[in-house]
Amino acid sequence: MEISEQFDTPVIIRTTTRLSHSRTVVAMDDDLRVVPSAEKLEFERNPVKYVMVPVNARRRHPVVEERIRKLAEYAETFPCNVIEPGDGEIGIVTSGVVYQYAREVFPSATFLRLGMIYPLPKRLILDFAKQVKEVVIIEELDPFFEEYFRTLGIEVIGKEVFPAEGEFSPYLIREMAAKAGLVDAPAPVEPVSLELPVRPPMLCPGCGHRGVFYALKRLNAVVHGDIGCYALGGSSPLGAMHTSGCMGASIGVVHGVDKVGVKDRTVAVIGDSTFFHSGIHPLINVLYNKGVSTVIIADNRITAMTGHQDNPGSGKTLLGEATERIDIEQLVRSLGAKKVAVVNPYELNQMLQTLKEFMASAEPSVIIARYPCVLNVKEKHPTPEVDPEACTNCGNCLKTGCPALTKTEEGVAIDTLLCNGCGFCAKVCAFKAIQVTAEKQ
Amino acid sequence: MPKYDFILAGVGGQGTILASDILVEVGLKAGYDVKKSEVHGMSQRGGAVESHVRWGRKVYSPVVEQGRVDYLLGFEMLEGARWATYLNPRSKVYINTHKIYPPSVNIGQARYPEAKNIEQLLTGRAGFFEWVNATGKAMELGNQALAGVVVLGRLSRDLEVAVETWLEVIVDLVPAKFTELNKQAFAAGRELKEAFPA
Repeated sequence: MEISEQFDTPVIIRTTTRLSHSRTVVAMDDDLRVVPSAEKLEFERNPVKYVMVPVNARRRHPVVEERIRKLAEYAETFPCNVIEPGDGEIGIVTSGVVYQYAREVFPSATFLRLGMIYPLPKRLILDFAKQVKEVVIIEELDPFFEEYFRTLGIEVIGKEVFPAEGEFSPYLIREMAAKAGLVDAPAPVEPVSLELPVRPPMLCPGCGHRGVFYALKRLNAVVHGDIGCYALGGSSPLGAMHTSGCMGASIGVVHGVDKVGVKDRTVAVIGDSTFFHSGIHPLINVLYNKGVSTVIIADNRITAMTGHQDNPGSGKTLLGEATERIDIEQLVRSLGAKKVAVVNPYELNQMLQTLKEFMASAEPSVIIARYPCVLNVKEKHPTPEVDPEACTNCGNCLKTGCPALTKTEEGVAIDTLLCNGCGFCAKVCAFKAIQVTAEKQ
Repeated sequence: MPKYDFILAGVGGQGTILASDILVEVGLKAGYDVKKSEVHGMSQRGGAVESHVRWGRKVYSPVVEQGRVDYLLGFEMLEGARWATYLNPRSKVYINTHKIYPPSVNIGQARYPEAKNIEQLLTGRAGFFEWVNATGKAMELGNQALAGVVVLGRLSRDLEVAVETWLEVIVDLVPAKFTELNKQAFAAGRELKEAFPA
């Protein structure tokens, strides 16, 4: 915030998956808490700065360049760019979580730890290079520091030792550094010869998305997916997703596939949050530009994948305040969709019928497959009972990809820990061998 | 001050994350620097869950280095076995005698490994190995999700941290209506005898 105010610049804090999934104790700076301003704020009217028509943009460019120069100067003494003294032999340059790994592997090395990675502190870097015999750059993915160091004429060890692909770990850094003769080799890790079947993430037991993908699989549809838990509809045994790129792409791609004349039965599947985020524009394209695609909005009423954040369909702001819920059905109708259905994805027959009708139609259509995320509403019902006499072990229920179902010699068994009691397995059983248990009163 | 590197591995829904949260807070209360890192899938139930917890005087990396784990706690047999390359001759291993078949096994594309082969794999690499019937104990208490705390009870016998500290953390982290059950699960874990998988 201080940097942003002082230099009149946006500041981007870049995190990585590993950092986001890690926890430790941090020191809080009380001064940094946001205090609501008592005085009424006034908008700063400065069109030369804020109206980026070409004439103003030309005037603004030198300001931006000057800002970068000042920030580079600031980076020289910025407290998160530091040289940590060591034995002066090997000098490690690194940042982020990789610093933590490198510290374990090189306990006595001299470190240049970079907390701000753009613009880089040129003098500090040159000074560091003079203090050590060998500069070793350890950075995940692209050689960002390495290329800058080389432009300064500094000889470095970098990507020829530490790969550009994959996530680093302390072991990988030690292994690679040992190969280059920088540290002692770790004890060799013998590969495991016992075959250990993988356990990929799957749609949770009780997840309403399962009904959508099970139906699409039955109809052998080509499915253009999107970003959310429902991307798991693409994994075995459901395997009902054929593209998934970025947020909103499901609808854009299905429209393109339609427009080039692909005759397969194609649909887009997009979650409610992703739809609000970036699915509305491509749906306008489909509707206005005479597309005929079927768009399924998998509406679980929350942003599930990232941990149940509220969204415009949930009726609460991110701060938990009640607000007016945006009605997806009304929204898509207002855009011009005439063929619209709201379906409970657990109602398999209704789901199948609606899909068949909409996919065969010559006009664009929207199916809102609505069932709240069971983990968010904490819905749980009793585990259904399997009748071992009736069960033929045909394996049809296992095709739903529900983690709670297990094949045994006597027939299918249901894990009561994992089972959510949604009863979808009972619906797909042709032999009525799975019976939904009555709720305890 | 010793260092302790723990890996907790299970299946989403088994309480692996709660158990690792408890382990983090216990470490902090016992005066250690603590870091934790966990990876779970996009969905929260049914996928593999791994949690690394590290206690030490000063901990840098949030992930345990391959070959350097001190305690491997497997809440599910296959998930425990998956971390074999992290073991060394000083490692101790506790594996819950509970199986949850992954989808590839359910649809007949893969075989679930035999318990004796898992035992062989882990005993061959660790200094100490023990099967624990944590899910059995948890079910006696009426809730399978207590298995994680049962395993922590067993682990607590090996660590020089007061029982009271563990119980305080359980009270802090577990919803009030489950506090008593979790305390019982922890106590059951402390009494746990070696088990053998069915």
